[in-house]
Amino acid sequence: MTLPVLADAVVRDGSGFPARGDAAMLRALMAVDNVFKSLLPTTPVAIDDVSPLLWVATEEGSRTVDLAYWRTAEGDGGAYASPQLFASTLPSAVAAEVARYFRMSGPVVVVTGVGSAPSVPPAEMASLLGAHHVLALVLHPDYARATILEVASRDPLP
Amino acid sequence: MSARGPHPPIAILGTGLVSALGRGAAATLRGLREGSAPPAPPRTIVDAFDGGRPVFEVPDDVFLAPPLPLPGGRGRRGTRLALLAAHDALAQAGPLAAAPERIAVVVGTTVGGMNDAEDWIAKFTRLEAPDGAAPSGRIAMRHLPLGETPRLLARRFRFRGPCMAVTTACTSGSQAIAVGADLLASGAVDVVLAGGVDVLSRITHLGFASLGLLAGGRCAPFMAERAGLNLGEGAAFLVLAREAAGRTPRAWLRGWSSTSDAHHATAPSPDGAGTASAMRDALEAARWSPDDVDWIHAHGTATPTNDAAEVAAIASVFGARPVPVSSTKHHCGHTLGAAGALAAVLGVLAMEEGFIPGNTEEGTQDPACALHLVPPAGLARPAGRVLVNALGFGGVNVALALSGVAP
Repeated sequence: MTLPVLADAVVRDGSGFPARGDAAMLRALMAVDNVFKSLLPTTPVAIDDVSPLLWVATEEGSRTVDLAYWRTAEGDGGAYASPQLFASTLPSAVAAEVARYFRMSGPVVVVTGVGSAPSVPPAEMASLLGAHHVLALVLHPDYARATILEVASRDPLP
Repeated sequence: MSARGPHPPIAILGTGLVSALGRGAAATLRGLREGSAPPAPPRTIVDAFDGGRPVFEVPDDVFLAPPLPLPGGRGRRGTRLALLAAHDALAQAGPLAAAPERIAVVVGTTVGGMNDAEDWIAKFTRLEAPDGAAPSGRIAMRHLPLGETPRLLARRFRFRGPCMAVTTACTSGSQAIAVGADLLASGAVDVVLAGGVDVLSRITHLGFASLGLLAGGRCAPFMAERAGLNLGEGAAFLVLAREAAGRTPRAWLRGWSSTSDAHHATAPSPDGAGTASAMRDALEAARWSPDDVDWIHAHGTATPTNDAAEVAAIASVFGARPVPVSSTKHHCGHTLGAAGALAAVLGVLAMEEGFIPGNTEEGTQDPACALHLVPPAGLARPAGRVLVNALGFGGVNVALALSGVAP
């Protein structure tokens, strides 16, 4: 089963994106790059009020954040490494923020490397996991686009 | 992922593990029974905290044993550990009754090849490029492919099914097992090589130090004196199958569940609600009651907040039941993406050996951690049903319910 694309977000610099998230949320995510931020305002379009499996496919998370963190860590033996940036280097940081902001208590799965070996496409993979509801976020390798796939259900949605 | 009724039992055909305790069941059990070397300053990384924040590193001789590096000479430290553990798990499983296209590889990791990429990244962040231009993140990160290990394992063992890395912080190893079980339960594949791997890197050592989460000595889960975790490194893999194909499996995976705290980027929810939910769901999926559980392998990192949240979760699910609880991280450290898989393999070993590993002997039990902790020497008693917990940054929780081969 291939999930239908609900939103295909073009987010080269984060501008021009519908600001459905509130300012406080975005301020709290200053450590997260624009691609990650842009996912958050779009997510409510997809999740409505269900708590699906949150499934994120990414190559390696945020390169921007990784390098920013490394710059804080390279001097003085790393004595001044940024704890906030460190937490955001995890590829799962965006999923955690989405879950936190929208109070999603369901399963969270972040996968990388999908497609780099014989494999099924990300959207089909989500459905193969057997979840009743799936919200799949696909961060494209060039980091210029993020695709949000519609909640899929084996049961009627509420 | 989240339980909706009972799960089909998943056969565990083989296991393999590598940690600071050594490679394989014998070395691991020896360390768990007789005691382990204390954590020491890291040898493979150097930073401002190395002397005061000891770690558990894998012994050098482990890397010298066969099987030798992967085809093409790409055998980085993490991939090398993964290969050793995966090789042992597959050797134990024996011939697999599945076509290569029906065998998946799912590997949990948090930083992948970060240790190998660090020197390279550092050069770029110091703007050593000849023209002084800012480095291209895309180029610098080319040395950090999280998906490299599953890809190379699939190539090495000639598996052609779904292949991916799962990265949900410190639950990655457990999550990889859960994802693998889902693939089996949905009928997508017949066999899954699932597990986790992580190695020490400066980025994680500095990061945990910056968060104030590293202990100055051996970690002490659930003790009043606990002052943080010890980072470790290791790998653990399980061969999972939808059918035992006429063989007696090593053990069964009966239930699995993943939940989100939806609370904080790094701290767990203090009430442990998400962790409790994962445990309840896994029990439900296994068709167990809390009375059925013989041992809880706790996540037990020994950080004040993590242990407190897990204690609250266990109390919420198990009440006053005297279910034995222990963490093994004082023996091999917190292996991050490998931790959940390592705990699952230890669960299998405990059921086979009739030996429940003890909690630490360092310090006195925190009165706020009102658990029935396993004595440091461990318990020699049959354990037929084990619950394995994992908690991670971002509030991800995973619980696995394992049973022995007895009915």
